Amino acid sequence: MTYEVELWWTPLDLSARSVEASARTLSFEEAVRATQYRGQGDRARFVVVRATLRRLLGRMTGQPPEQVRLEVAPGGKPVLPGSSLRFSTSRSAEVALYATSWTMEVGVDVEAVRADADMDAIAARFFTPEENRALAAMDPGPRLRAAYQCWSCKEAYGKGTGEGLTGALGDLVVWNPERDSTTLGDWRIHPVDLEGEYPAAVAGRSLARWRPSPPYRL
Amino acid sequence: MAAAVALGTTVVDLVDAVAASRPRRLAVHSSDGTLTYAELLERADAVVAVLDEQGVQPGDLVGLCVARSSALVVGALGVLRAGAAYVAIDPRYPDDRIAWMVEDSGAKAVVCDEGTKDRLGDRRSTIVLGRGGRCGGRGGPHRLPVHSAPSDPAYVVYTSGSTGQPKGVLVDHASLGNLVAWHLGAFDLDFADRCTQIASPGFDAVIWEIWPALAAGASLHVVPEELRTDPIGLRDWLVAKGITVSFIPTAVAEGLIGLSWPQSTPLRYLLTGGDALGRRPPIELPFALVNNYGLSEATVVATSGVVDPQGDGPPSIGRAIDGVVAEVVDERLQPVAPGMAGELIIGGVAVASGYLGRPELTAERFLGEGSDRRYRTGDLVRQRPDGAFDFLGRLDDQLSIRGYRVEPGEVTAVLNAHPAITASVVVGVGATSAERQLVAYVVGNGEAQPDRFEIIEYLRGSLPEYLVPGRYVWLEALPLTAHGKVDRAALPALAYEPLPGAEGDRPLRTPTEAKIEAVLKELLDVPEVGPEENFFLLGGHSMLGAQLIVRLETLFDVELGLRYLFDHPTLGEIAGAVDRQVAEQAPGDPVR
Repeated sequence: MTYEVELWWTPLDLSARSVEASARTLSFEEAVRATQYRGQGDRARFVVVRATLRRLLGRMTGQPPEQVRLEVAPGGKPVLPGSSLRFSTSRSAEVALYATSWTMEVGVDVEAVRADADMDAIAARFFTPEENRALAAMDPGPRLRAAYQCWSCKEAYGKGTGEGLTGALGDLVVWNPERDSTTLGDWRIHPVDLEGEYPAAVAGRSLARWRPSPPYRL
Repeated sequence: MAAAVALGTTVVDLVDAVAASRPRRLAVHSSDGTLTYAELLERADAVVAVLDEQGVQPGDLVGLCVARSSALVVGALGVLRAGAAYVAIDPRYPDDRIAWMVEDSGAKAVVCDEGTKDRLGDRRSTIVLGRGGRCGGRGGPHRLPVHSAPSDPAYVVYTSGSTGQPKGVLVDHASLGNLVAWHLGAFDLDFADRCTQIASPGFDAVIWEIWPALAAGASLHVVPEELRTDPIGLRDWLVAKGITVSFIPTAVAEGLIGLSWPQSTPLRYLLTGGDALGRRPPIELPFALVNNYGLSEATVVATSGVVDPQGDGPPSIGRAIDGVVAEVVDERLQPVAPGMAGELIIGGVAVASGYLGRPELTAERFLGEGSDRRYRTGDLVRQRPDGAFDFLGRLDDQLSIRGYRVEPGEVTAVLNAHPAITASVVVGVGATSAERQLVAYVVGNGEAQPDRFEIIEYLRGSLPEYLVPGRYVWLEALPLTAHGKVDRAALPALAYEPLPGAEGDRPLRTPTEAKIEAVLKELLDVPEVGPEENFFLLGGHSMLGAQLIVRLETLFDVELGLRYLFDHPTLGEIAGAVDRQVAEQAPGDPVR
């Protein structure tokens, strides 16, 4: 079965060997941008996530990773000029998740559940009344994961449109636990369960009943 | 046949050996005279005699303020043969500057020419060189030079950083000898070669032009002044004179390689440096283009490499040369993982002795002792797998905009790729990171100038928003320093236009900032947060941002929204927004 939207993931290997191999494939600008991050861990993460993206895009377009030309569209979304391959990147502290499609714009997000994250307050502040009603109907355990799932849907949609998360707040409903996916404008948003552990979501700009692939491990 | 440089020998010894074995070979050719090696030595020794009379001792510093000519070479060799070291001074500097350099260096005497003898400040012994380097000294039979040890000073060249006063860099014979030895080997230099002298007398490239050529017994051809800015005339001259190895500053070299050259051009190597090289040579160029990076504190050249006509991105600055140990380190001076960007640190015999008369500054920039001494270049680089380095920019040049470290070179690279723009420089205007705006000075190619909105649209296609300058100033040409580098101080000053809502000078830590910092420290798990640090570069992401907003809104009883954090991600800006809202709420009023 072919999927219009494919998902790829990897646990982040931040060992010296991995960082070194990754750094070699980055462009000038990316090498300089890595130094912007204050923490060594954040720098390493940036480098590894970006290098993995290059590796993935290179494989899909038949180029070595360091030759992949990445540019930035207005609004900050990375693009591959001259190609119909669309993609989106997300990472948490431990994993990176990528979405690709040859046929539609995509946005992806992955989260790590933290019990101390004031999710109740965040939901109350940023989610819509419908989403909050759905959450309130759940037991506390599943509710925490579900709140993260809802958040990742908002992020995925925001990254897909290129407007960022703040374009996905307000009264936009992106998540409904009774459905496989929700639609919003031209977009369909699918919650994704990564390894049974990380709440994630992918948004794609097509109202057809597409489904994302199961996440392939890179 | 490259001259072997034995341990303990200096350039003086090498030139002496050439004069002894090939006295009639051409040494220097210039409009003020042509000298064989025998004549060069004779005139240099006349200078030694006069220096003796003036009481100059081995180890003293002697100013050398002579226009580019054979006299300049005579003067330089004379000072070294007297066992002294020369202070390189450009006669085209303003009088004040020349006098200051003479004073600051503590030069015992100054070797000058007719054009400079009255501009040297207070009474000081002067040795005036006439045409061809003649002076009143007793020449006579070939004298043995004073023997200098490798650790004795050879020359002083002044360098000015982006801030502060110029500083004299003192280089010894060991470092100079290393440069010469590397050059002779790398470019296979021998007595049949014909080299050039084009660099200004105060720019340390002049040392690199003179000494390897003389040490190899090659001939040195002084480039006529009017050709320094005439690429076509310069090309023709280089071909007509049969030049085989030549150094040409980057700004001029970029023009030269774009011209067509006869396939039979005797030129073998075109060495360039001084500015970042932005382009590659065409494949059909009949000689090799060699890009070089270096600094006065590392004896002119630290890395070097032939530029491959094909390749992505700007050419590299090559590999470390002999006698240079290059390391890439982070802010704590720890080596970075291979391939990661960091500051270039230079070690090895190429490291200069230090800054003349500035022990604290020397201790700050020159690390370690003895043969472990290293110099912090302040340049950002990364090393490729083949050992060559990519130059990424000056750390000093990096601006902080909203807490993002901005590399102006990234912006100028994209600007210069625009068809209507030939050159540009980008600076930051504004006192603090939160207020700072980028301004681009651009030079057009003579055709219609795109308006501001067109350029912004164009830049947005390749750059993140914070890198897109808000203001554009069109210039006829970029102002250059005497060394041919962009002179930022000479850019037309702009009135600072405050962004709406920006505060101006505020104390470092207001109570609001302190409270917000406490929340940030906990959320980001960092020991402290500066007011201009960017949330997203400290490890923040949108989920943490949401938590931050929720907590701050509760803590201060205000409404901020997540959008504000994305647009104003520094502690100072967030605190400012909180303070403004709190001030707008009269006591007792409801929040919403």
